[in-house]
Amino acid sequence: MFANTVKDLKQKDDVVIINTADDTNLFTYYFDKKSFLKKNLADELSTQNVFSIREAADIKNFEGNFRNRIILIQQFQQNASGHSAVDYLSSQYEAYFQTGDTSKISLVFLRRKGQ
Amino acid sequence: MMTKRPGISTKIVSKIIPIFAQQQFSIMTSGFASTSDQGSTSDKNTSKGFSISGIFDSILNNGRNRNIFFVCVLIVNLLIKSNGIGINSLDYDESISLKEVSLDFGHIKHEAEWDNNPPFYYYCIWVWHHIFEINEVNARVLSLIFSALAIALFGRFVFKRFNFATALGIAMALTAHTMLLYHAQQARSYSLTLLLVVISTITFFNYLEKRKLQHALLLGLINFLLVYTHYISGIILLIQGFVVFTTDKKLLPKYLISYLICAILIAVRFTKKQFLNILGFNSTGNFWLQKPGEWELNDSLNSLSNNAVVKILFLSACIYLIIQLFVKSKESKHRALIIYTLLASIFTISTLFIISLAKPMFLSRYMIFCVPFIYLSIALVIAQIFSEKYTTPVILVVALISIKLQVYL
Repeated sequence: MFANTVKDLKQKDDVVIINTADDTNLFTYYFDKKSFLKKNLADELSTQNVFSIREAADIKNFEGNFRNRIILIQQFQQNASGHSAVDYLSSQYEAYFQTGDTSKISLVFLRRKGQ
Repeated sequence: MMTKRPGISTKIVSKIIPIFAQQQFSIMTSGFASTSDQGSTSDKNTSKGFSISGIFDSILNNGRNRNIFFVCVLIVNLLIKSNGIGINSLDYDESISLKEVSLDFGHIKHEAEWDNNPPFYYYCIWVWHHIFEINEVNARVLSLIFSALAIALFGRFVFKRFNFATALGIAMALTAHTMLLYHAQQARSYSLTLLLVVISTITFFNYLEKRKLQHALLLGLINFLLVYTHYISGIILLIQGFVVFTTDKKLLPKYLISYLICAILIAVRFTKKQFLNILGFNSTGNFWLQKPGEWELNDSLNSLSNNAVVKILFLSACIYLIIQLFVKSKESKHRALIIYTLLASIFTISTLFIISLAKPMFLSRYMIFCVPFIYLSIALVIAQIFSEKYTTPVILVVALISIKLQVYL
């Protein structure tokens, strides 16, 4: 789930998006075990700029938190709407690192365009 | 009932575990441990300069012997299956199980209102992790204990109804069974399901034998816990009802009390939304499982039987037992056990396959509780086809095939 990698590389202003939300439990167990044991996981994670989405369109709910870098963990490249989270973010962000396609789960690093 | 068989090859058994071999030897030479042969055993030992007649007396006590066997199988299972239990990181389903620990105890049952899994395992793991810290090893040890207990109890059950060699063969095969090993190291409900099916089976046959009300009451409670752990394993209730109906209708009224207990507990513990969730299972057709085909059937049979050779033996055994049921009619002493074994193995697999053609739910792990009965059906046939002299070696060879071929297939 790349949770340990994200834990090591995430800086304070970075936003982490987990797509899909089904993976949130497993990610959180290795990312922050204390938060995993809390009842309201979504609230706990949002304080650390970690958000879960089911559809690419869900990103708009927390776009205000975005700064320069986004770390995207995605299990399904295409959501039901046919758009991926990378597509959704492509107007402002560009992917500069992505793990290989052979993995069922991929990790994508995006930075604001022009940086 | 097939109790201890005289005429079993002493040499083969004695190479396995001497303490049990000594008991087998005494049984076969004495016709269930006559005093004269016990005496001769004691004399031999005394002549060696020390008296262990008292020890042998206690060993010859069948109930104690079965308990020793139970403890040995339990320890061996715990030792073997604890190897590497924490090596792999948690998987998706295990993280779902562990997340339940963060809920209030009273809220856990409401999870079943949207989840397809009933909550009893979640209650167990909630209590477990309020005693032991959450980590990969601790989370899986609970399943390890359930799995080891299930195999040891089933071995003891077989020991009581057959003999030591059959129990040893089945315990060996179940201990080395890949699927059971995998789920013994998974923080999920399948090992608990296996354990509850074994306990339910033992209680059911105790009830058939002793016909006591307390067994019927206990059966009702266990069967409720079974349904409260995994819905599909509830098929055991139907199987037990059918066995009572077809073997001894006089037992039916008292047996129905167990159904009543189970129904009352379901009415008390299940919420309305949970019932609606069960009835509406996959109504939108978006459940991840697809309708099974020939490949899924074959793959599940291979997984449940451990390998293709045992699968063929199992299917052949089923055909033999079905023919025997019709030919020998009600003469067989083992009629109830044969019907139960067939229903809990091939019938359950076939029924789930057929139902899954309409509502997909055919997955080998959902039928994990069939595994002990697959081996029991083979043992039942071996015990009847081969003469007493060859029963022990054949059963042990089958057990070794199950274990050995798994390495290569």
